[in-house]
Parts: sequence; structure tokens; C-alpha cells
Amino acid sequence: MTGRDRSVPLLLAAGVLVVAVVAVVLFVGVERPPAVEPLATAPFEVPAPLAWIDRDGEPSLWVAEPDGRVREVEGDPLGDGGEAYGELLAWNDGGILVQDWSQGAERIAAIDPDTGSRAFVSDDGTTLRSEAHGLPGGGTAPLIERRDGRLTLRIPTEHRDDDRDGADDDAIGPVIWDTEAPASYDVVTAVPSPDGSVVALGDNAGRLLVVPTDGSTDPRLWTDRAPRYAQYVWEGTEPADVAR
Amino acid sequence: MEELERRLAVWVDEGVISSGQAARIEELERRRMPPIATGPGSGALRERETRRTAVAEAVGYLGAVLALTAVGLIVSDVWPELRTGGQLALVGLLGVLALGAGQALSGQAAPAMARLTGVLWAAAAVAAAWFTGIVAAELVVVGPAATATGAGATATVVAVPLLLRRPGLPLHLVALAGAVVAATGALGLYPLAPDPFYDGLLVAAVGGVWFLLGRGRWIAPQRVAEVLGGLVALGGMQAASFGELRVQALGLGLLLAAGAVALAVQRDAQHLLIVGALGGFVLLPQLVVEVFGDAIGAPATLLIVGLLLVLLAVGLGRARREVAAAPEADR
Repeated sequence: MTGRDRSVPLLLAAGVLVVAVVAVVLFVGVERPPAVEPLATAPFEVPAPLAWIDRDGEPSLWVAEPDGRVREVEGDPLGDGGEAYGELLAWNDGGILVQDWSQGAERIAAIDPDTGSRAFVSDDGTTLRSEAHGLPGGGTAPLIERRDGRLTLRIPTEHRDDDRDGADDDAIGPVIWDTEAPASYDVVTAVPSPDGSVVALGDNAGRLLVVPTDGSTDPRLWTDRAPRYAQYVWEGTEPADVAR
Repeated sequence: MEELERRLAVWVDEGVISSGQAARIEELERRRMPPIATGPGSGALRERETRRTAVAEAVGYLGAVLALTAVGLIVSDVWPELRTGGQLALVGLLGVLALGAGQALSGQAAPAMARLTGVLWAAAAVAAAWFTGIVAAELVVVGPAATATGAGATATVVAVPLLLRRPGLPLHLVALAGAVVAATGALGLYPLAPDPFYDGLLVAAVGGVWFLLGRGRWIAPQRVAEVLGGLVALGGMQAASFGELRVQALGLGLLLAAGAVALAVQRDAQHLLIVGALGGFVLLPQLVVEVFGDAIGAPATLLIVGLLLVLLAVGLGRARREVAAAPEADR
């Protein structure tokens, strides 16, 4: 094959095809989540830190501080690659409580959020439930309305098993976020703080947001490197139900 | 051989012979290669030489299978215990060995050695992609999308120059697969996952580019590039059809298939006829069901699909006769 045999018009056509398709994908296909300001630069009062386990790759324990900083808990808090650990249960004076299902045992590990050291607080088959509103980790399913390219978010103020038909505003709760958002954007979990003043929101863009429950301020970005679907637990969340 | 390819291309361009005839001449001359000697006994000598290279190729592939099996066993047993440095060293060593072995054989004119070179270099490109994936995931610590983008791009970047030196199917596959993984992985870098239509569209574009580069003789063998590019483009539109713009994706895919058939008839290219036929038979029924399914019910839809497939088969049969008859008419 020589240079003379090669077709320059077809090479140019290949280049035009690349540019055209990339342009279509970038300008039409790619949607972006609503912009929010970082908590670190636009702070409001957040009552407590929040913890979660990131299971992308080797599991790791993370803590978001009220001042906007986000850190990985050092040491080896989850032990042995972290594969054995189940759900986050609570965060009280004993530490962050994690259900451990390793080696067929139901154990509760209490992890020190500062040092990463852990101790088993129960190894006799005890199970704990977190202070939940329907989802593990104290989370609740946010109520989302979409209309004319806008997303309206409310947090239910009480647990309801039925659908929203006929529910009054007191049950639904006030609007905590009203924003323009693409149809592909979703808030997948909401976890009210123990004092009820703020709600942590996990969205499908891998962001962790925090917003006051009275809707007085737009959400702030805690981190954009959170898992898309995770359990979150606030400090001060007590296990509400202990059963053998 | 290069001189022959050059002259054949000129003859096709000038309309002296068809591309189908050129391909057959090239194939015939390639079969006659390598001209080892002339004179009495040269046939037997050539036969011995061919047999020897075939045995060498078989031994090479057997060795490769054994090596891959050993690597697989090592990987399954040792891999979890290895630190990142050990993993990189192992993969890097395999890549360098494959690259070096291919380089050592690349000077050989025998087709068997050429094929083995292609396989070894393809393995080297895969090892390079693996190496990059480990670096991205373990050292740079990026997410799966960025890791896939890096690994895919590495496979393509390594495979394409080797492909230009030693054309062959394995390097085509690695380069093309790398480009597909890199393109779709890059789309995954955005925080919100786009509609599958756009993933499919990117894959189709990669296939289209490959097809055009093959058609334009920028990558060889031309037919392999055209077939793989065409199939990837059609597969991309099929993947795109799982998104919100299903009808548009299927329609676009069908247009590509029709284009391949038209080109096959125009250029006497039977391989394009096969690609186009495959696309038609896969995409047409889906499009009919999607467009008419709810309106006219399942039995009527099945009837339309059946009739259209019969029409498609008749049309393709006629196209095939056109393609087969063209060389005769040229003579």
C-alpha cells in the first residue's frame, strides 16, 4: 500500500464523522446535574458529621465534617479488605456501628471515626436496626415532583405505607429544594439529621448534598465523590431497635 | 508484493479491472508467495518450506496456549496476593515478551509467521492496556470509567502502529475493541449517565471511522477493516436502539445496512453484501414491530415482518447475482 493509493477524501470523511458525532453527544446527549455551591465555601450550620462506606473498589469508610471537609477514616476500620462488612447501623458514643456478616457471624463492630480502630460490641448474634424511616441507615425515600424541567423535593415528615394520593402537606413536608434539572437527574436517598434541622441527599451523579429542612437555603455540595447508592449515618443516630 | 498491490490499485482506479478482480489477483499471488527458488526441484523445496513454517506456527500457537493457561493459573492463585508493583511487573513482562517475539518474527515473509506476529503483537497491545488499567485503578486511583477509557485508548494507540506494520485480524480486533471501550468509557466520565442512544451512537461512529479508513486503504487488509467496521457500526445502532430514540436508531441502522448492500453491488464486494444482509435481517423486524406493533396487533405485525423479510431475501439474492456476475461482465 502506498500513499498514492490512499483516499484522502475518505480520511477527511472519517474525521468529519468523529467531530460530528462527538459534537452531537456533547451538546445533546450529555446532561449535567444542577449546580450547587460547595459547603466549604458557602457554609451554613450543619449539626453533626456524616459517615458512609464507599464500596467502589476496596471498601472504605468516609466521614463528612460539618465544616465541609471530607476525609477517609484512616487505619483499617473495615478490616480484611472490608469485604465482610454489611450495613451501617448507627453512630453513637461507642463509635460508628457496622453490621459484620463475616464468617457467618452476625456481629456488631464499633469503629472509632478518628483512629479507625474497631472493637466488636456484640458477637452473639445480636442484630440492630438503625433509626429508620423505611430505608437502612436512617434514610428515607425523598418525594420528587417534576414539572416543566423543574425538580421539587420534599421529605416526608412521617412514615407512610400508602402512595401520595390524598396526603396532606403536613405529611409530605415542606419543599426543601426547587431547581431546574434534567430528566435523568435523581435524588436517590435522603437522610435527616437526628435533630431534624438538615437533610443529607445522595444523588445519581455521585454527589452528597446537605440542605436545611426548612428550605431556607439551597443545598450545598459536601462531596462529588460519593457512591451513587450508599447508606449514610449521622453522628448521634442511635440504634432504635435491638432484638435477638 | 507491495509493488503488485500498488499496481492493482492503479488499475482499479483507472477502471481497467474491478476491485473484485483485483482482490482475486492479489489472493492468487499471495498464495504463490514466497518465491523461494526457481528451476528443477523448486516446487518440492517450496512445499517443504511451507510445511516447516506451518509447523512453526502450530508450535507457536501451542506455546501461546500453554503460556496463557499458565498465566491464568498464576493469576487466579497469586494475583490477589501480589502487590501493585508485582502485578505491573508480571503484565509488563508478558507485554514486552510478546512485543519482542513479534518483532523477531516480523521480518519473516511466510504467511504463517506473519499471522503469528500479528497474534503476538495483539497480545502485547492487550498487555499494554492491562498495564494501564492497573496503573489507573491502583496507582492513580480513578474510577471505573476513567480506567476503561485509559485502558481502551492504550490498546488502540499500541495496536494501530503495529497494525500498519503487520496487517491482520487480531490487531484489528484489539485496536477496534480498544476504541469502542475508550469511547464508551469517556462517556461514563460524565456524572449523569447519558441515554444508551448516545453510547450506541459513539460505538457506531467508531465502526464507521474504521470502515472509512479501510475503504480509503489507510488500514489493511481492506476487507477485514470494512467488515469489522460495518459490523461494529450496525452493533452500535442496535445498542443505541435500547435508548429513548429507538425508532431513530433502528432506522439509522437500517440505512447503514442498505448503504452496505448498495456499495456491495456498486463495487462487486460480496463481504459488504453479507454485512448489509445481516443488518437488514436483524434490524428490520425490530423496526416494524416498534412502528406498527401497537397499532395493528401482533398477527398483522408478524405478517408484515415476514413479507418484508421475504422481499429482503429476494432483493439480496438479486444483489448477490449482480455481485457475482459483475466480474464475468468485466471480462
